[in-house]
Amino acid sequence: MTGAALAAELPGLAVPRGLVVGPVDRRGTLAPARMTSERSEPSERPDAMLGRRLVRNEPDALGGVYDLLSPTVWSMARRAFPHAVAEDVVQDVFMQVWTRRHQFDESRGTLAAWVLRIARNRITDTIRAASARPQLYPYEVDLDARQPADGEPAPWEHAWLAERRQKLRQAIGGLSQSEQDVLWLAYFGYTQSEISTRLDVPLGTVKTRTRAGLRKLRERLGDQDLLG
Amino acid sequence: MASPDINDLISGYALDDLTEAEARELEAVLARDPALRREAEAVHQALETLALDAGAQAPPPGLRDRVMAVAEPPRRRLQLPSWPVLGFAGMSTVGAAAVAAVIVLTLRIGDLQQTVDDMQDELSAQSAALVGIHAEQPHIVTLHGMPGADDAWAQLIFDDAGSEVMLVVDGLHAPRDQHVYHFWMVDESGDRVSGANFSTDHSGSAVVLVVSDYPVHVFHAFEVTEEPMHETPSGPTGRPMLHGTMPQ
Repeated sequence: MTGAALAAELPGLAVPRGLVVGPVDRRGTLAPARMTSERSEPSERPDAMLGRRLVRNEPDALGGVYDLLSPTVWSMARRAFPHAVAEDVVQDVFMQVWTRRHQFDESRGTLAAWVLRIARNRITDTIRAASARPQLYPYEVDLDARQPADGEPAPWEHAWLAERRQKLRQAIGGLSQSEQDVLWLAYFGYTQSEISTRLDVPLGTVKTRTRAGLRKLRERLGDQDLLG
Repeated sequence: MASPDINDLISGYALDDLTEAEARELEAVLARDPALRREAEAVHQALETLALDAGAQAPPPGLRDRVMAVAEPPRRRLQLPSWPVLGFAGMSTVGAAAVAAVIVLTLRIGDLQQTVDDMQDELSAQSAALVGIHAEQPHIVTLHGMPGADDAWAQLIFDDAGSEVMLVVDGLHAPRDQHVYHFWMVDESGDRVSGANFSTDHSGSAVVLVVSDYPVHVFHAFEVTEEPMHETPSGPTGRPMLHGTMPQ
């Protein structure tokens, strides 16, 4: 059948549901997919419910996801970009969440982890693109732009997420500031050499700090998977 | 408990900071040690949790409305006023095979999904008519993102005849300026047949319909490369972005 003949028969465009699915984000898929039964949290957690609603294409499911996770995504973006750029990044992150919602697989990880991984990748890509033209885009990750560790959760923050943030802050409190700094830069995709230049410390020191910091963080978190 | 050297490798993996040799060494170790593999995953998850440390500032007012306006427009049925032939790919053949015609159709996946939702009661017949897929169980080949396009994926959907192939792409950033993506079909001798030129939209999505003189089953692999615009490559010249093999 030629394209023209095919076109003549087309009343609309449709692809069977379930065909347009693919693997979740490949970053960090060294280990096999986690089984649902390994989770320690009940399935009624807010992001689990939202994940199912999102995949089912229910009205305002994306709004629910935005309400739950946008403060975190926004804070991530603001660490790296000026206000206007951060707005574009956050908008694009949730657009990706929407357009790729059928890739979300609850058995492979939580909605929060999936969305925040999309955000991290989007931020990293933007940093990478900007670094190629520093005159046009002089962005620099602000290592001081972080909310204080103490204090009441903001009214717009979901209590479930606030509790997890507090647990992370307790764990990360065991790391030195220099270890936290290198981990944040590595998290945003900076290479060890770039971190060395940025912080003006020897490359060997950067490697030691990042690996030691990550190991400490892992030990302090123990079996807690705060995004799991 | 892992040795310090392995711990360093695991940290390096989570930080995406391993040489190829180190990555191979780590993979070999993890393949033999499920407990260590779980540890590697736990270290990776620990790094991912850093997102929470960023804080929870209130996003700007109005941003939610902008997201919702773009992401969830009023439901509508997508109508194609006429067959939107956006371009014929530069047909080139390598080896004996040739592709007769290529029709490239790029649509936002969001619109596509809305249409799917609207038409779900009549999906089977309609979609079969669309792509000429007459099998109840179409063949699907998944293409995975290559380095530099790690988030990208694609699926080829075709029936037993294999003369028409739908390529659904997602997560593939737009090509560089003055470049397009090129879909190649690789035969058993490794020769590549030009399939289609296409681009992706701002969300990294594209739907490409390829009509071929030869059944797609004869090909052993598929790939997408980035090529200079306005040139008809006789073979891939750019770096591969997606790659997949035909299941045996």
